[in-house]
Amino acid sequence: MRIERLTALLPGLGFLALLLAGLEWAVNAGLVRRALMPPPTAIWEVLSDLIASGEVLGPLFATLRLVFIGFAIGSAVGIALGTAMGWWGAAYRLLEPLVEMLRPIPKAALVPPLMLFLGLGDTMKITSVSLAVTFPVLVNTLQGVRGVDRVLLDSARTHGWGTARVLRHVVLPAALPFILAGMKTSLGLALIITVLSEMLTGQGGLGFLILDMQRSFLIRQMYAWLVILALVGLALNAVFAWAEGRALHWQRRG
Amino acid sequence: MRRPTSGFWLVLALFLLWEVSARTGMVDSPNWPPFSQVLAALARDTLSGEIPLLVGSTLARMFAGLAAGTVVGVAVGLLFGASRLATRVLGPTVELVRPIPIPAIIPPLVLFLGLDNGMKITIAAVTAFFPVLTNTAQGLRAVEADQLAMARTFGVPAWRRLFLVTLPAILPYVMAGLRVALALALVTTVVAEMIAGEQGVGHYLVLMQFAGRAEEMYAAVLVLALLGYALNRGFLWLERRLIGWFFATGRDG
Amino acid sequence: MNEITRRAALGATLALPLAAPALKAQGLTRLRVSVIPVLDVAPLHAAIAQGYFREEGLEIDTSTTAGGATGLPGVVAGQFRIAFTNTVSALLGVREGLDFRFVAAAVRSQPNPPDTMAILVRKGSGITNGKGLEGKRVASNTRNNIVWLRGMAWIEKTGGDWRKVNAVEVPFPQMADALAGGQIDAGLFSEPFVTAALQTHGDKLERIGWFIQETAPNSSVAHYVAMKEDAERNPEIFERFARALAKGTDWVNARLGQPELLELISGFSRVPVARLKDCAFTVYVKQITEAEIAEVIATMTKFGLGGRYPAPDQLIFRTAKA
Repeated sequence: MRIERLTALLPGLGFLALLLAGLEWAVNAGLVRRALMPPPTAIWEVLSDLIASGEVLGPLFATLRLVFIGFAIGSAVGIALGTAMGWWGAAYRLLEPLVEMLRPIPKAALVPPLMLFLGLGDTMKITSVSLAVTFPVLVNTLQGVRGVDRVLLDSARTHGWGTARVLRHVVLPAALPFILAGMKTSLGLALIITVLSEMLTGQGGLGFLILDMQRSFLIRQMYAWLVILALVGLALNAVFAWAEGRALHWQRRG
Repeated sequence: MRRPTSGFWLVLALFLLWEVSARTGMVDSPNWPPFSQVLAALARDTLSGEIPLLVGSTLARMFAGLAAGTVVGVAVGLLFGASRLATRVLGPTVELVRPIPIPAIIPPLVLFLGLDNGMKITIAAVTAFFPVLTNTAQGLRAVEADQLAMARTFGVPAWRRLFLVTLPAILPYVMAGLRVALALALVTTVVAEMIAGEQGVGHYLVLMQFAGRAEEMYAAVLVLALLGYALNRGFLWLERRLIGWFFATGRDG
Repeated sequence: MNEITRRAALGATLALPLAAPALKAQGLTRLRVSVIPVLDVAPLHAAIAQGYFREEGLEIDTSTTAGGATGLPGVVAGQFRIAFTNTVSALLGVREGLDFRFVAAAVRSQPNPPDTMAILVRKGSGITNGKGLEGKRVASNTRNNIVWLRGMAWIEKTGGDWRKVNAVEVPFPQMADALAGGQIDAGLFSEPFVTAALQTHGDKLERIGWFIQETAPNSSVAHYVAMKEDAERNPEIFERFARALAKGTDWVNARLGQPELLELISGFSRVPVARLKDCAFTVYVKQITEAEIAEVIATMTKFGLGGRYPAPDQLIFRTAKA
């Protein structure tokens, strides 16, 4: 089983290796400007230095922290509001116009005004990320909650379950696939807004460093940090996919 | 027209609070202009032609990128959907590049393409590429089984099969990918404008922030909100026109 | 507003390549120049407004990059022929193998205060010199540029160890708020933000030094840069550019502090004229000396940006030489 999966990966990894080797050759042959695109081995040198010296950790954790906190807050708010709006008609009528008004704003556009009010620190960045995360989660939760099977609800009620219990044991599990789909969209957005806010405020993690290295013409360093960010994106997606699988598994059993 | 609900009054109350808090000095900050002044700035710069030009240039870049990204995304998606070998060879590279947050590729891209249209269109194209690719490949696998087999038995040549059968059949899937791409492309185009160059609404927003002109800055946020709303509406309309049949017949198929 | 509309219109035209030939109608050579909306580029805008470039057969299309970024990457990508940039950023590019050449002069620091760049702290913080800044957060708009370099030099000169200072980046527009709000302990400001900060937060902030003037009076701050290849292949274009720009510099120098100049600056920076009235100005110059470039390289080397740099003589194209 394991070995089969590995052999399935071989052609892809081979292609990737070929791509990097080709790039290395092209740079060394002078076909690509070395000042703009250093050979992969040179980037690897910088990268391994960053890792070996532990220099990578500070910016890495700074970025991850923003993504996690922003994602957690945004998801919590989105699920809470989405559930409320899906469950109580009054909440829906009260909040729907506001949500419809705020939702289409590309959240990147909110970063500059938020910088004016909340400054350049983590508060501003986390607020931006949370805002970006909230809406896809909210809309999906709303859809999920509204789509819950009426029969299930009625039978829960006939058993004399209270609202809290119904929400917790019937509605949320049933809406879970929707909620997770919303969270998946939001995860990508969270990373985008994190990187953007780091770039615009000029502080902190990986996004800032990539832009900063470019401005200082430290091109190898720029690519090295970009590789790290790509790995972060990859890891986050993998972790989310794993968690999603677990959650859906639990939902089916529960 | 819907009867105004409690939510309508809430929105109205919030705008009123904005206006009052700025006018009475509850929030005393040069960064918090009354809402009416934001609207005035919006009207002024709209009538002077500045905002329409900015919006036009942002949209032109975004759509150019979307078009390019969609074409390439569909092409690669078809390849992935049709050939397991292609997926195996190219797939890992695609999966490795996909999770890179788009703003992060702007700095290196600027070195090669500069700060103008070429870079920004590429950003929008890359944004569109991935969701379209994924959806196309999925769509192809979904429709392949029945429709294509039928076309094959009727002896339709491969290239005609592509245009007459495959593409129309997977259109709903492509559109679903495009819808995701559209919302994201607006974000990434604006982000690219904010970070580099001097074009479009994104740059206007940052420029006004820089010049300390809060009214114009909020006006730009309003413009972007309207733009996001209009694009979504427009897309829904287009989707209904193009693939209404899918939703009409999808369930009994 | 008119100027801006024209530029916006130009931007839109660029988006539609079909309309582009209209611009070339008069047979002028079109040059795209990357600028930052700061006081330092006033001579360029003056030369455009006064028609000096046109007289030399040049059509200048300015492209404004907001923020701390410079247009240098755009020059590398071949998108701009010329970029206005601080001396340090250009030299860093040279160090990394990008063949930039200084093709025209822009500004130097003042020989005496007031200067355009000032270091501000919170009133009552007790910080008066570099020694007091050790362990504190000091903001510049970008790291590894002229503002950062001179800021570190000021800290060193006033008794501090620059390595013990926590250097952070804060965009100029946010600096006053960040400082007043305690997010940073000192800010390396540039005009018009010095004036703006003292106007809006005058009760909370104070100036403790002019960090460039005090460490390096009459020193190199920013100039116009092009690629070596381009300059050597088309020297006459850069000669024409430098000549017209020099006339613009004369025009500006003849009107320092006058409403006409303030209107011009307000036009491209969008900073209200009222605020510009109290601003300090730099020294607008027409030539770059080898000594000033050598001084910047020496200072860079001292503050961790050393490396192999070509001789200053080679870095200054003849159009910018005395």
